[in-house]
Amino acid sequence: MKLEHRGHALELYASGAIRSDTTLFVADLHLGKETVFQKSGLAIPSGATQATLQRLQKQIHEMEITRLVVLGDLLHAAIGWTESLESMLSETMQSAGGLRWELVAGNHDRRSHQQLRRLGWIVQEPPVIDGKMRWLHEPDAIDTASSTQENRAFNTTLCGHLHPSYIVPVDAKRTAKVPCFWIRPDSIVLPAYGGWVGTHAIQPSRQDRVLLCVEGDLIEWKLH
Amino acid sequence: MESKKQTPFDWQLQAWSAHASAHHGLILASTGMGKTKAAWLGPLGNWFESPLPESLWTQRKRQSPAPPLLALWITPLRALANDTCLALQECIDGLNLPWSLEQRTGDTSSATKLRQRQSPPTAMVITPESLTLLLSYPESLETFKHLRTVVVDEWHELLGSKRGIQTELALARLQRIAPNMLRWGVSATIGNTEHALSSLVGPAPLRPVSVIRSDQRRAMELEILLPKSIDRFPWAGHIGLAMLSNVIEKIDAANSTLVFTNTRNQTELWYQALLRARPDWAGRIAVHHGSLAPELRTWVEQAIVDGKLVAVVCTSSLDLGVDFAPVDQVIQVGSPKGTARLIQRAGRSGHSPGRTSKLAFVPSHAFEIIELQAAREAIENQQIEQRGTLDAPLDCLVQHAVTVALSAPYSKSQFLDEVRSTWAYRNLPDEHLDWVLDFVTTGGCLHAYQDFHRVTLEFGKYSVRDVAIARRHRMAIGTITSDMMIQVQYMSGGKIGFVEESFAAKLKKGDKFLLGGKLLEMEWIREGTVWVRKAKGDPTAVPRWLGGNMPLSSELAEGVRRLIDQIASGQPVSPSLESLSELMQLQKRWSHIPRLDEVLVERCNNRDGDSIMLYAFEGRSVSEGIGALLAYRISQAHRNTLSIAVNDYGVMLYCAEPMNIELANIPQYLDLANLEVDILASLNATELTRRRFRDIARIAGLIHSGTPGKSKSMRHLQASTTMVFDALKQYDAQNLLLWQASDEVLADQLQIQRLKGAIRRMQANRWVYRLVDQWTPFSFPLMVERIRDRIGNESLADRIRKMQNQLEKAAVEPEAISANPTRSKRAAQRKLNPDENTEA
Repeated sequence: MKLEHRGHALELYASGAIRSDTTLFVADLHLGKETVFQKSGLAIPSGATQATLQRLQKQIHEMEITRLVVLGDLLHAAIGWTESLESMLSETMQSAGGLRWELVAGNHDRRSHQQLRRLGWIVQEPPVIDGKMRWLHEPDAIDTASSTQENRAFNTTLCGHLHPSYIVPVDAKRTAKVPCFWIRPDSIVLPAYGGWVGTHAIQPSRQDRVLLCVEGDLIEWKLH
Repeated sequence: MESKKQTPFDWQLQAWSAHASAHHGLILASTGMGKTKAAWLGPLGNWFESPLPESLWTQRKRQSPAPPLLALWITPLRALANDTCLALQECIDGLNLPWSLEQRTGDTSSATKLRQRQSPPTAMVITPESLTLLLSYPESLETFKHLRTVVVDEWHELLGSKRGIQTELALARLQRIAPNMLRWGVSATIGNTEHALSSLVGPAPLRPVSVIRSDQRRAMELEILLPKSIDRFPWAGHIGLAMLSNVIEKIDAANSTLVFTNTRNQTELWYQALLRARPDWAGRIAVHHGSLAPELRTWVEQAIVDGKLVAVVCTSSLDLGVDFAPVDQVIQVGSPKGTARLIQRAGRSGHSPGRTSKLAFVPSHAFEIIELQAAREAIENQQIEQRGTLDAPLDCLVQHAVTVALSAPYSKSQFLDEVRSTWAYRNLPDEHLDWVLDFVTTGGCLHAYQDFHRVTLEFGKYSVRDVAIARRHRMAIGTITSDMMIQVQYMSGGKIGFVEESFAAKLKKGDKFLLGGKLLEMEWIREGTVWVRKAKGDPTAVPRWLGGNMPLSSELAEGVRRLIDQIASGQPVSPSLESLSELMQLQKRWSHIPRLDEVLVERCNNRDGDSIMLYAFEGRSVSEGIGALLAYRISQAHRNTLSIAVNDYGVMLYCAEPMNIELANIPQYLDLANLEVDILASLNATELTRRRFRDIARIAGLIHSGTPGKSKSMRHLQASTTMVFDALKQYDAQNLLLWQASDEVLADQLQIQRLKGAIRRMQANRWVYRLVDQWTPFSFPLMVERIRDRIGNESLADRIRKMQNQLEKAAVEPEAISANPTRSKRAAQRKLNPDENTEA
């Protein structure tokens, strides 16, 4: 879905990714999360990490991009870093060819910067300013202070961290939590790209937009 | 002391001599009959027979040495521990024994717990959870070495629940450590004594077993408070506040009264109503339910014991608990739903041998008069409900496999022996045991759990190596799982109680709701707490607590069917049922009253839509099953959009347009073939299973339930049970815990056996079909259930009153109706042979 946001021409995907020109943005993959649980004695089967990487690999193949930017929480925790994760990740990187791999460090990546750099990732601490765009992991209070931003270099922010979802009624008695893009006047919060991560129900305000990611489609939820 | 002067009853003597002959035993007696003494004097008497030499006694700081741990008293309620300790101590003092007695529950300080592990007392009052926790420590082998007797109090409360299973496993473990240990249980009378006994002593006890029954029956007075005129059109949920003045009169006449209601909301409403009618009772009446802060509850309980209160409005939270000597009367508002429960509640008054317990029943709608009459007859005939049984739940076994591995390394055969010595797991298949042990060591599905470790298998022995895993497991021991509750606290600091998270999420600033008898105004939600201040005016929001919809027990449902048969046959009925005669006459005139061998189906097709009502009189869960099944199968054939409403008596299918089905085909829709498959498909089984899985995941240790305050460092280990469920479904679909979840949905929630039994009975019966022009006394409550979901509380009451009035008019003017040509045509149709389908 194409979206014109503060002068930026963006393409939004139901997978939770955003493309701007030849850069693809994703957030919150939480790779190795099952391993972290397993190592702590909680019997969660593996599979989600691999599925997430395969999805990413497929998406990269389908479009012409030169760089991938992860808006934080590429990994779930340092103890989730295993040989098998390392090989899965480098396989994904190799199959994608000459891409530039960038990570805007998130709270979960804290103790894994070295390993990622070794694999060829460019790890940067937020905020990262790129042209008229700013990249963060955790959203800040920018929207509440938008009037004071006129003289800033950037005019919008991409971020993750929240794993936004929106509660929609399914029928008279049930509701469902659906992952979504949360589009605010001067920022966009990406849904979590990872396959086995929770979501957080957002409470958008009137001037916001909510794009639901449902079974491969993006649907705008009309806010009243 | 008064009790010391009493001469013992014969059955108490029997219990003591059975214990002296080293029998296991089960004591069946109602509360207040002296069953504590019956169970306790056995182990105490044993000390005189075979005292232990002082060399084996435990040295204690600043106190004289005491014998090592000889007796355990397991209590299901920690609130009971204090009171029990006093009663047990009294016996110890009376016999001048050198025993020390202490309690160990979740409330015990960690310093005390540590000291108890190092130097245990001679006797300990303990909850099942604390016992299992104690068994997880390596020194437990030493602690319980001399153990001679375990008494399980209120065994009926644990039976049929996962806590009961946990207790069985703990008993098996204790028996291994102390092979000569005697097992004694104390239980109220229940329908399946056999099961209570075998799950207490196991399938193959090595000692003789005695069952002791107190021969006295508690004298009990049951009274129904009847309104002057009975609503011709009863509706469930009508809380019977119309009976307020009668209730006040009753309370006034007694010393101290417990007013039981079935839901926490009703508790709050009755409390408010009483206070409004009798402002002079402020400070002398109180409210008590499970969502109140523990401090408040303890205060209320103590105030009852001290005789400071004239009345307490409460829920099942006071079904069990400390002796309330001053209470001389119980008032039950609304159906008790079961005979055992009614007896239990009545027994809270006149709580000592020789005194009479008194219960006054306030029906909340007319049909409950039948329910109470059925319960009354069941009590006279000693027909008490059976307790459900649980079939080898694997989640409890997973937890146990880790608990035992924490205490000492074990081999597979040893574990199997121990587990199969419990009644619950006596037939545990080898492959299930293998799966459980694999699951805790390797995850059970090799490629999926490469980095998993919890229990280590080395040289054929299972043990836990990781200290962090051990610590987390101990924190999570137990099978009590609670829904997400959120604390309610005053801005000034005092804690009031809890509301469900989903309710809290909907609260807006300024919303007013009742909790703990106070009207509270929500200020904000912060740090996982709802902050409130006292408010004036009327509530604007009603907290929802789960668990208000207990089904009528099948025994009581059968009693109700019998009484309805009696009414239908025109036989004379008991006086309390006389008061229903007008209502029943109307049901007969407008429709039909089913005999015992009949099933009544009504259809009301008017401008509101098309409704079909089927009356199974089998309790709410069966109604739900029938409704789901009918709706599913009908919509498969006819593509109707149906909505379903149920109560304890029947089910209503509703469609805004005429349903394209013949009433005579209804029995076919209830075919037993493919029942499980269709019912799971109809009920959105994944959703039900997912919800059921919550408890299983917690018990089996699949999620980390962080403790508040400490949880921050553990945040990366937090996953909702829903996520765990999804991960298993996707990547380990053969996981037996998933199967357990869907089995539990079928067996517990949908009560599939009960449903099948009911359908089989109905298939054999004669079906009677009636077309009706207006809501009948039977169908009116169902119609109310149907529209309840759509409209708010206030407007619902208004609307029902309006409809009641209309129907009332129709009831008193039969001529006016038959003067109406279309109606008289219908009336003529109704007189057709009942076996014929009355549809044109």
